[in-house]
Amino acid sequence: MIGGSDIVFPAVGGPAALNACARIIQRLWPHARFENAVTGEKYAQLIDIPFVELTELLAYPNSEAEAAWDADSSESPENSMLYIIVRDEDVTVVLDNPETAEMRSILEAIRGLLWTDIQNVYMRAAA
Amino acid sequence: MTPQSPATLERLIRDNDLGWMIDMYAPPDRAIPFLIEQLTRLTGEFSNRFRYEVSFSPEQLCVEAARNPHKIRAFLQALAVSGSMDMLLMVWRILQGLSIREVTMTYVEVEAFSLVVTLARPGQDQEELETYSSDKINDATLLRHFGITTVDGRPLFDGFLPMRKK
Repeated sequence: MIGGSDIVFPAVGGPAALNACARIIQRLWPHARFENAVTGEKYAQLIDIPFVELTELLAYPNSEAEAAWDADSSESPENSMLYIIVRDEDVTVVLDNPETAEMRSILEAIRGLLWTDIQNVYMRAAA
Repeated sequence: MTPQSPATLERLIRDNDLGWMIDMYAPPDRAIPFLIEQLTRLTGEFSNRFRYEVSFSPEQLCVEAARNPHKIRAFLQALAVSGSMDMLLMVWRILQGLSIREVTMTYVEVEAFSLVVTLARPGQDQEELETYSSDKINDATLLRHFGITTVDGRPLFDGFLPMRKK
């Protein structure tokens, strides 16, 4: 299942923000697989992702989790997929359970990086 | 490089709000030839270090900009402030997905500056580390681009983010 929680972060939406989220996910899930949530295009590595084309990204911890979701398996474990949605003013992470230690780590790191990105935009705009 | 490379590079630079790199150069008409030379050197440095070819030609940068404009904007911003091949390679490798394992900066007023950045492929062992260094204090500017966050309350630099207008 997915859709237990929507975690919304203020952000400057765009490819840099989505790239930052994907980097954090790969850091904590070293075998992460990614997918364009709109087109279904799959990416085996972070560097393969054309971020300019994406506003919604699916991330799986590994190929097994990806295959289970592709098979529409009811056995998919909790938090075996993250759904990232980027909009102009925010980034939303949709996940089953944000209270696990792993998800807390990912969400904390994403929040920090998105804040750096906000600073890079608004401090420049104010200069 | 091709005969079109200078015009391609100038367009790329201006499209990324970095026209000052050209206009403030003295004299301005030498800016693009100098930057082309830097990119050519960088192509050679990359090949020497990694034993495979990656072109930093303006045309290749444009190809990547079409897929990941934020990465090329960040790279051009680094090119604007650093003439160090080591630092530019470091930036490019972070943009390729390497993690920032360690940063050491030393500074002694009017005496010494040193910046050493060690990168690693995420999840890899120590033998996979890559070290980049500079003794040019202007390269401290590059640190402003590092993404700053925490994991479980512990410090983390991750990514090389572009400065940009909204």
